[in-house]
Amino acid sequence: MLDLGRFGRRVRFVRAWRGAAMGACAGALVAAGWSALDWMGYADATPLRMALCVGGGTLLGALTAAALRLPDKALRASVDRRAGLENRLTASAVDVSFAEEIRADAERHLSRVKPAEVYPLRVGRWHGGALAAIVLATGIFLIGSTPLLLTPEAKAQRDELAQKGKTVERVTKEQFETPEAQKEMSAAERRLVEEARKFQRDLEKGRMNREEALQKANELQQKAEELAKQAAQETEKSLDQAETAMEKMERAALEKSGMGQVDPQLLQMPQGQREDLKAKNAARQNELAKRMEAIDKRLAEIAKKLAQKGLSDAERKKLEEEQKALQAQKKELEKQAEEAKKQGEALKLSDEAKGVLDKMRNHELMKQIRELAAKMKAAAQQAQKDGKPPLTPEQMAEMKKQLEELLAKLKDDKAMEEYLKQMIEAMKNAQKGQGQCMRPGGLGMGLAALLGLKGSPDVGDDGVFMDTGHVNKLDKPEEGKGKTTETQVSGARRETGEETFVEIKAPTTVGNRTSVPYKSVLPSYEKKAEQALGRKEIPKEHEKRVRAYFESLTKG
Amino acid sequence: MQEDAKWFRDTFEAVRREVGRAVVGQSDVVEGVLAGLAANGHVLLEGMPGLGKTLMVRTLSQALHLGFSRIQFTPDMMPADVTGTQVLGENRNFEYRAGPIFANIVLADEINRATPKTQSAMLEAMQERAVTAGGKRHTLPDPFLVMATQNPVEQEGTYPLPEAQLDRFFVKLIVPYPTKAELSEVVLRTTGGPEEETRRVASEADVLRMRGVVRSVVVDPDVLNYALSLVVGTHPEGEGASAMARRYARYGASPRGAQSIVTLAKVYALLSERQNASKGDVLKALKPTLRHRILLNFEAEADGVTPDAFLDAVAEQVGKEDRDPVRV
Repeated sequence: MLDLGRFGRRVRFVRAWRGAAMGACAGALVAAGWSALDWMGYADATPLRMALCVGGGTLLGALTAAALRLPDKALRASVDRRAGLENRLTASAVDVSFAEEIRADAERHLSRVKPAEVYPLRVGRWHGGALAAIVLATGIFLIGSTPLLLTPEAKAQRDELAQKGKTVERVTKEQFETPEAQKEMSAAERRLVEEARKFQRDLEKGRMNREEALQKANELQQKAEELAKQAAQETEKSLDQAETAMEKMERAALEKSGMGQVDPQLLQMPQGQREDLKAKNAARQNELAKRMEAIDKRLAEIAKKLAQKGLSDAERKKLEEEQKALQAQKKELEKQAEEAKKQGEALKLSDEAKGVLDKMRNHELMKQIRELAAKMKAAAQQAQKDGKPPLTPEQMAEMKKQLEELLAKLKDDKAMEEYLKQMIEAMKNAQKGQGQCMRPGGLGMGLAALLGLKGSPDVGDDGVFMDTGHVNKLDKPEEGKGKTTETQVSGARRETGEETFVEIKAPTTVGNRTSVPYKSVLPSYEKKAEQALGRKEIPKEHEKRVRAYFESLTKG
Repeated sequence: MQEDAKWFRDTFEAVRREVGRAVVGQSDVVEGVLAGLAANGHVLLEGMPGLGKTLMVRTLSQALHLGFSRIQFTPDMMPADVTGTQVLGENRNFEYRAGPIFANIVLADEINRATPKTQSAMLEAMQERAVTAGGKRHTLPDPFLVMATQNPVEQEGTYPLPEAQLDRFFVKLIVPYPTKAELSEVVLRTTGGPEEETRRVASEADVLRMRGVVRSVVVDPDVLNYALSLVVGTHPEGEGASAMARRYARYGASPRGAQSIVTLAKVYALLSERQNASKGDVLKALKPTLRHRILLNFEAEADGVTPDAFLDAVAEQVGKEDRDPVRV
């Protein structure tokens, strides 16, 4: 057999060269389509992704082409015709008596042939096509992304929004793109994160103006708060379940100690009240004993008198009636004494049970758990109230870590384990809420403020979060027909420095409320109202109401 | 085998050189005639009179030391004038007197001037390599080569050879006019000093050995497939028929055409000192072996399509289909 290995390798190499061009062409066309979609706002294309697309296509094409089947017969025929060997190689495979001679002749001629000369590397149509497709993709991408056609103001705005987009990207990465967060996210959270990512891309690509960005930020913020509240509800629910688990655990401990019959009310009674009750019970028992003793003494006297002779019938009858009444009274007192005694015993039992429970509750680990539970409950309730968890992510993480450590320590106790698991579940929910709200840097807690978008109702003049308002968005925002100018005025809210506001000289078309912060325009409105009052244009009976209105706004 | 190939080439070249000493130019024709001799096939020459055909054949027979005869065909020639006849001998017995066909190399000059009857007798003898006269079969000498000539211009009073008879010729060679330089050489040689005597450079046995060597040349399936594609490509219908043939061919090449093209390709391979025939050899053998085996229709004639042009077109189409099996 002729050794055609070097030709086979060369063919694979040349094929890979051509396949790479084909793959690059396909990859570049995909990248071009992607860029076009990006331009239209349906996709997100980045230079890196496009390069990966082309590179991936190139690699795939090269590998596929190199791996194509190369039959020996075909290779012989190919080398024969390309090297001008006059079918010596194909003839060498024919079985004849002098085959060895033919093979030797073929080998002799083959040895003079260089694979690189037979299969040269050529830049062909596919290479040209790949280059053209890359140029096309790059062109579309650059045209779609270039700020060259924008005015300086629009360019500046775009740059600003692009910076904000990077901020959102940072936040979403930090909060949601950790492996832990990815694992625990619900479908709604994933949707929210996806929206946030799209928002970030739109900002970076300059696909929205400032007002739209503000509106979108508010929308995301609202959704995040809703999710945070839901998470807080889940937290509280889990905590309730944890409490039930704790009660079960305590009941089990009492039954284990033979105190299953203890009155739960007595057990839950505060220590002082319990002491009062014990003192009262003792006093009552004493009093009952004294009263019974007095009755016994009187009954003895009556019995003695009745035993004496010479009593008239009337006297005897009176004594017998008194004796009956005292006996009935004694019976009642005995009953009461018995009850008091029982209460005393119950108190004693509850004391003992309390001792057992106190001993359990005063265990160092249990104390820690209860403290954590209390903190979490307070945080969950606070979060439900205003959608803003008061604990920092660091605190949350620390608490979760502690709970997990406790779980590891107490894993033998099933009841305790259940309790702790519920607590950890609650903690996860709380962290979700934290993630959605992301205080101080999250999506929900004033996304617009976080982005520092000028004109945001959430942004104070010092850039600090102030409020979380919402804009009711129309299904299809209309294009504002008025002129929008950005003006800087001095000192409305700060003693020094400047504040920016956006003045839209047209009826707002975005929702039912304007996105301009009312505090920015309030001074001018108030001034106009005062002027109107001064000109007596407002009926006298309404003057007070107008003043009160503006005062209320100013205070707010 | 390598040695045989070398010997074949050397012998062939020696004969060619020797013939070349007498015949100026016409190297392709000389090569074709020698190939016919080596392949045991008859040769049809087409060319104007006076181009040295007779000289070539005579010189060839002298160089090979073979018997030579020349038959000038005329319309009144009878078959017996070619094959021989029974004559009454001195002892009053009929005895067979061999005709001019009984030679190793026979030049059948202007064969198309003979009547079909005589042509048929001649061609039968060519095919059978034997003559039957008086109920007795007379075998022709071996090697036996007939070189028939045709004048393509003077068609009046001629009997063109029928296709079935043309098919019996191994190759048809076109004898061209000599170039000016060749003509000058011819004139100088024939009008100057005495003619040089032709030397014997090979023998009858060598010719027979050459035939054996030709048969042993390898034709691999790829080359055979290419040759058959060319043959089938001349057919006006059927699988493999080329577009050119579908349009212009009335009849395509016969199986003898396929045999001839492969055999001539083998000869060409040996001339290249190769033990295997290549596609290049087949392509080279295409026109000599097939040009007289195809019959073109009236449309071809009207369009001025010659058999050679037709074959060129067929070869081009088959060549396009015969792609490099390794695409890079």
